[in-house]
Amino acid sequence: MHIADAERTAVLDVKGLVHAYATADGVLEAISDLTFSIYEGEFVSIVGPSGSGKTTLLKVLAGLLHASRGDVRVAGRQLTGNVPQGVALVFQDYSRSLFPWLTVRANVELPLTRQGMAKEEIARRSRESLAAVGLLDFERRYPWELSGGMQQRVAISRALAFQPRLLLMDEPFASVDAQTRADLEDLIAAVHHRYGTTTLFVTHDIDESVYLSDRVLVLSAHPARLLLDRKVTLPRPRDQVKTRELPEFVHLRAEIAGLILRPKGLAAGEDA
Amino acid sequence: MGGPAAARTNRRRGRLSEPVKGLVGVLIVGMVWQFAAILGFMPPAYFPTATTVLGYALTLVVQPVFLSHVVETLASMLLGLLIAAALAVPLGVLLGRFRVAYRLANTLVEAMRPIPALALTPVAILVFGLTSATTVSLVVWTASWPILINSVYGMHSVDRVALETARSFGFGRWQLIYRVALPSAAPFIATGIRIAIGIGLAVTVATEMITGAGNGVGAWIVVASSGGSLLPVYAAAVLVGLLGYLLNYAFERLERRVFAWHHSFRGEGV
Repeated sequence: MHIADAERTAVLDVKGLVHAYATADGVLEAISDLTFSIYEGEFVSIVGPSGSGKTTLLKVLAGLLHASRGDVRVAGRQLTGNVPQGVALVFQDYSRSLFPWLTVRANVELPLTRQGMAKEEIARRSRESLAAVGLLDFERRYPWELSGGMQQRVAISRALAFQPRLLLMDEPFASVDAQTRADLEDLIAAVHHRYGTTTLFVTHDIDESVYLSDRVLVLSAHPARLLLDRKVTLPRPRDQVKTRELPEFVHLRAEIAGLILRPKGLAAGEDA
Repeated sequence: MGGPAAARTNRRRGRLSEPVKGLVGVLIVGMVWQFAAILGFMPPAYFPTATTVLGYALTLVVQPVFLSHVVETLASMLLGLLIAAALAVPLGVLLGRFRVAYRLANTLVEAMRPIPALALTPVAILVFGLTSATTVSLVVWTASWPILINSVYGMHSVDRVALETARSFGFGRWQLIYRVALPSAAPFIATGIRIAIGIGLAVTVATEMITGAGNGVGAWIVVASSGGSLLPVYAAAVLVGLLGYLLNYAFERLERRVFAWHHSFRGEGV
């Protein structure tokens, strides 16, 4: 699609991906023949209506679910039913994804401890990533002592400390209030700018997908198909007020809304 | 954050009053007992007054012979509980984590669970003789069930998202168990152990009464009451009750401290 892409390294390569599951009425496809790539350092959003198989897609990419057909490669290595190396996943449900018996710091360090990493290195990474999300002062607290937005920052910090080749985020800001959401969006943009972590960000929020991304993939509902693969050339750093007023932002938002909202009519407004 | 601080003052107020309330309840029952005995509502031969029992109990707690029986009882009970936990926790983890194992074992467990230790006493005596091993084996039998059931329940209540999170970071099957499932099920397992402590103490004393020849508070009760006086029985019963209360209280405090992170304890203890 984009000529320059051929020269870049694909961190994620998805070809002909199908995910189907059995129901009482026969086999249903959640994902139908999906093909796309994500390149080194890119921030890509996947936007689609609720129930469009976005979470299913992320779980397949993270190795938590098996694909029915197709080929998925992470950093060139084919997914073989195991959890791929170098992939971190941030869940929407931070309160269930963080371990309540561990302090903030221990939560961040847990994924590192199983890699046989030296203690000093683990401590260095957790300090750095907690500092990056502004939670260094809270490292001895427990997740449930923190607000929702802070808990999700802990989850983001844990993923960053892992230093993944590919960071997957599943509607990470869907459960926080609007102000916190804007703050977290800017935080994740800043963190992406600083670390350059290749990121695949799933959301049902069209504005959010355009605001954050270098590229937006639009999915259809039932089953998920790729409707649009669009580069976003909005200047960075982006600004919650000014960026959203730019003609490109307004135009892109309308184009995506047209694709997502039209087929389902009013029902598309029922996002959770 | 005003929340935790506010919760702390509320909690302090509540915690002080709880044991006091409990003591008031005990005093009321004690006074009813006392007056019923004095006024002759109960035959004095069977029911000595509360103060007589209490006085006798007080002489017992400073009596080295009696105390050595208490130590014996505690030792049998603790050993039984330890063995029960060592058997039931791993089994519960297995049954809770693997559905096939659960289905295979469920009927058997539910059928064996109601069998009282008392019914198995002859078997235990045949195998272990009139020794404290008999007592321990029956404590193991009784204490294993609540620990097993609660371990299974705890494993079943492990959060799916927590497991998926760990899995996405590359944790293997056994790492998931000891890094995520076990810590998250631990408060449930502890509840099972606390229930087992209460039942375990009762079974220890009861078995000691039957096996007789051995030591322990149960054996002491049989010997002390052989002359026909029921006073030692009541006094020992009061002390066993107190012991059970203290064990339960201590364990509950420990739970609050260790599992302060668990939602049932949040904002309490420590």
